[in-house]
Amino acid sequence: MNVAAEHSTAIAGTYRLLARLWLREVDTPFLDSLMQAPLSNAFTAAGGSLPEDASPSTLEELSVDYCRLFLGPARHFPPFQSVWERGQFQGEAVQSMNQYLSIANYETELMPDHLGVQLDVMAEILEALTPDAQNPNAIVDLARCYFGTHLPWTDPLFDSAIEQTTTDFYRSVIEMTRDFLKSEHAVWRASAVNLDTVP
Amino acid sequence: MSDLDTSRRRFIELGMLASAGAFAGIIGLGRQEKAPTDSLKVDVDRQSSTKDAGAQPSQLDIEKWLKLRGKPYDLGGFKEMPGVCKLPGPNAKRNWPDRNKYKDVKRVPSMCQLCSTVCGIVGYVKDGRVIKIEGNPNDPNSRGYLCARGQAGLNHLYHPERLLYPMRRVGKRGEGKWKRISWDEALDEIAERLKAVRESGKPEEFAFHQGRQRSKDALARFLKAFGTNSQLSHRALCSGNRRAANLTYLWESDWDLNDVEHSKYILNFGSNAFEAHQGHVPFASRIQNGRFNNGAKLITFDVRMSNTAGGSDEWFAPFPGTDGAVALAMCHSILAENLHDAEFISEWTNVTVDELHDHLRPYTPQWAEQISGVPAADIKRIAIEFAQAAPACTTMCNRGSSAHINGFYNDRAINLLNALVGSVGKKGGWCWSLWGGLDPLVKTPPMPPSPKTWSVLEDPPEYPLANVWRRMRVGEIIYLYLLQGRAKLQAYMTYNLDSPLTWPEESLTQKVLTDEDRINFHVCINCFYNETAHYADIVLPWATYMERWDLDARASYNLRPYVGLRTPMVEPLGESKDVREFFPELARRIGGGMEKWYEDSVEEYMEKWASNVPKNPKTGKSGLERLLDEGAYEGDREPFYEPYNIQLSDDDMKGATVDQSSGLITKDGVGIGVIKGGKPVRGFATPSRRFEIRSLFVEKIGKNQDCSDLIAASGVTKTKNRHSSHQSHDLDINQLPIWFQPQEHQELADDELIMTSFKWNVHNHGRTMNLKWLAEIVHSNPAWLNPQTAERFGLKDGDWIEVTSYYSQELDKQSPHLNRADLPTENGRRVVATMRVPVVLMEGIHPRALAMSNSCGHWQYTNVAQARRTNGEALSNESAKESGTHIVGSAPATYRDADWERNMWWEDASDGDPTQWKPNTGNGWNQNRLIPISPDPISGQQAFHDTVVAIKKVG
Repeated sequence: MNVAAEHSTAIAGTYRLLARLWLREVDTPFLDSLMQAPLSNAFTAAGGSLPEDASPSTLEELSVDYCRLFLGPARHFPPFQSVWERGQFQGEAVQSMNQYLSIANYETELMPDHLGVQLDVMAEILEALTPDAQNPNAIVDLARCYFGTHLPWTDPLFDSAIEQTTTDFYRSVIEMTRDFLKSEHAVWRASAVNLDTVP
Repeated sequence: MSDLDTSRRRFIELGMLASAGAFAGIIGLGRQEKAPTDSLKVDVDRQSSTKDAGAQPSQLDIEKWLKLRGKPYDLGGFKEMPGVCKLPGPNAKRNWPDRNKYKDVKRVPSMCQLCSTVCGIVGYVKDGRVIKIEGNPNDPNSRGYLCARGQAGLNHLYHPERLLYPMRRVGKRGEGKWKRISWDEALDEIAERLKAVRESGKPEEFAFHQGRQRSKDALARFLKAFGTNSQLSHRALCSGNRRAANLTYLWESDWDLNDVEHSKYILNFGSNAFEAHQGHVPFASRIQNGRFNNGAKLITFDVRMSNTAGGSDEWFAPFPGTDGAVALAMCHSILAENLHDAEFISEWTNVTVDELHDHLRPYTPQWAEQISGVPAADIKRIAIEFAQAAPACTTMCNRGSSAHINGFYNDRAINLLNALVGSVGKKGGWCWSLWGGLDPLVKTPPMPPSPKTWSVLEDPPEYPLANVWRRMRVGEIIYLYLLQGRAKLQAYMTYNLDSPLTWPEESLTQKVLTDEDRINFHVCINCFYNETAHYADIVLPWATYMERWDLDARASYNLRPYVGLRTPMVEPLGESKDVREFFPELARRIGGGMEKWYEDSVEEYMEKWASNVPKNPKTGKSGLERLLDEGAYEGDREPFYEPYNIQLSDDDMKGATVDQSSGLITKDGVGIGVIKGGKPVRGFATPSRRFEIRSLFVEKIGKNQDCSDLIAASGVTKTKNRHSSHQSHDLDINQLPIWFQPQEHQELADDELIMTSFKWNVHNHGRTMNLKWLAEIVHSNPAWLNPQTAERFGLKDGDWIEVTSYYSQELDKQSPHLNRADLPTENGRRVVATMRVPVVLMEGIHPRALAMSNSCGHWQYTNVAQARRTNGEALSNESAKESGTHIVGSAPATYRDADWERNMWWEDASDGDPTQWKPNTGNGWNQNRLIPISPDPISGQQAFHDTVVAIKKVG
């Protein structure tokens, strides 16, 4: 098994969690769950910073911060690959993502180059790397190409957004995503697949 | 163990816990197992869609991947997906032209809406993305041409700061704090508020305030179903006087369609037709066809050398607001030279040549020269040339002549020229059509009955011609009347409107929009967060014109009706929606019968609406299917030339009565025509069935006298006898075209100038400065000054001045109800505002005028509109510049759009210090800070070009 495939289910879980954090502001059920041990401990160990409570005022504060950072209406940082590569929505990244979504049988009404969708699709690919997977090398190859195409664009977004956060929680989410993708980048870079081995 | 290993171990632990147990059920929002069919349901599904990450088998289609992977594209690790179409940009252009760019492209015909001209367009759609827009040659009005704004539609559609989600205000109104809400939450809250207004017994306290709108049916359906007539518009800021002047002559049309393509002489009073006319490209292209194919001469009178003036055969710069005086003097000359069309005047107008001689006697060219500065000899010469070209000659005018306190009379005087030479309705002359919009063959599905409400905002009683023929309204007084407590709004819905930028007196507009006592609840519908949205309580993301449906058309310069289709080229981005989509849902939530007007889906509704479009014998397609194929349909009617000579049919005459003395023909008491040469013809749709140079109606309506007999005789029975609430609001309106000069212009001091305003060809006032392709071309608006004027004030190019603007003394006299005692007084004048701007010296402006363009000075509406490259607050500070976070998509490390890299050179680094400011940098200044609320007392048209200002050098 390729090193990148090790712990793939667990790593997919982290992708999935981060996807949720980027796709939508936190709500009560989510934050309540996240704040329960042992998940809360793992979250903070990975660099996350949890609020003191999940009260309505906390949730509102987080919603406002999320909105100001990623939704707008002004001076925000839309977490879409096209925006950061082309300065507009619906760049080439969308066309490329649509092909990957098709391979992953991943249907969504969301804009496909949203970072949250991209993280979720990566989770989807990794989850296929089960011990009994039919063609693990091809899946690893797919994961590597996908990662290389759709997840290395994020640093300027992270750098900009970190400066503007007003809550520790979202600062930590951005930092955690940055650190996680950095670690993933190293792994996937080191996992070159010999094309000859791909059936 | 390395840091990376440690870190990775922590992520593995986190992932294991996150993908286990109940928590796994509340993450994973991205995937939807099935795309919902009901668009409103999307959001609900999105929020509840969950996936147990570990529970489902892999759905990867590895075979598909291997096929793609097997193609001869060497991904080599971190590169693009094979077969992805490149967008314009430096990287793409390395391999330009991309031979495959338009391979497998779908061409979707539709209609533009970046301005009011609504040209036909074709979108090139590939893989769900619009990659190019061009003109649609099937559109009979625009005939395949498309201006720079239309091309920039891609910026509009894919702008990175587009609103994508509904939001609710969190902090104080205007504070700028928001949170996302779902469409369900938004519609529930709006419905609750609107229901309360409806049940309060004061439905008129819900006002819908539109900017540019082309979904007339959808808005009217909602407002009528709700039961309010409070539909506010910007018409008085645009064309109220021109329309009113046209209506006095014609009654049946407020829009002259100058047949310039067939003309030999075009006399232009203040219209910047090559850049800013509502007819824009269709009109401008026909003017040039007339000139190059027909040898037409184009003469322009404009205080400023616009691009139209510069492209004319001759340009004259009259003193501001004196167009009507020049026109009357030309009329005088035509009569004096005996070049008038005596037959037309006698047969088809309601005055005699002798009456005209008497009326025009004082208006000599010498008199006009004293007033306007235009040489009497030129006035006379041009009048003669114009008359000699008749009937293939026409005047044209627009805001340059009409946006004045005396604008109604200016335009009345200009139109008179056409009557004198008999070019009215003639080929190459001054024409109009019955079809200001859609071809009447398409029938709007049944609408709710009209409500009976009245509001001072919608129908201010002080302006006699504002609402009698058409609902022109008096937009600029809305916020003043709210401030003065003459009305209040329980609910206010704005739509594609940027009133803080485009309305006069910016500060007053802001003050009222902030006031929750005067406007209890404000919902803003827009594609972008503009200055109006900033003062909203809920913002709804509107779909762009490339993502929604309409049937649309303008008054066509072919003088025959047509119908065009606006159709979604692509799905709306994010959660944006059109009113056609969410008004039905809102109506269902408000209930009370509103819902019954929304039984069809949008597509069903469009199919019904377009069902009468006939079959194209070549394609076999009809109705909506034909429009989807071609984009527009134009019938084969004859052009609307000389409609007054159209003979009435036997059917028309069945049951008709002829008045033997006047020859007027009526049916059931309503005028339908007139006997001419022994034959029944249509005539003009006026009480006299003639071109009404003398309008008894305007005199009587100004005095609130009963005009029911005149209205019946005209046959234009929708004309309103003024409402009882208008009583006591009397005004003297002259029956004939006259001219007067506002008091403040007569008494203009040596150190005072008249401020005029203008529009650029790449902008449309409040809605295009966010588009980078256009903002690059025009982004700033220093004040234009004539070098002579500059010398008097000791100014040179690039100097800064302080401009102080004054309220009109004429309006203080004529419109005391405006009651502007709130404005401070200085040297006997009421001061509106003071603003500092740089000057640019131009020979092309009258020495007593100062010109500033509109469209500039945004303080919201995206970073492009504000000319901001970073979010750093202090750009003059080098360290802040270094560390300032990059705005959307402008991080140079990743951003690869050549337009931006190359062109964001205009960011202003002066930090407000005039000594550091560099010419042609920054985003300009909002001229509407200076311009006072200034309605023409007759029609209510905002006088954008009359403001008296004092200037002094800064520093």
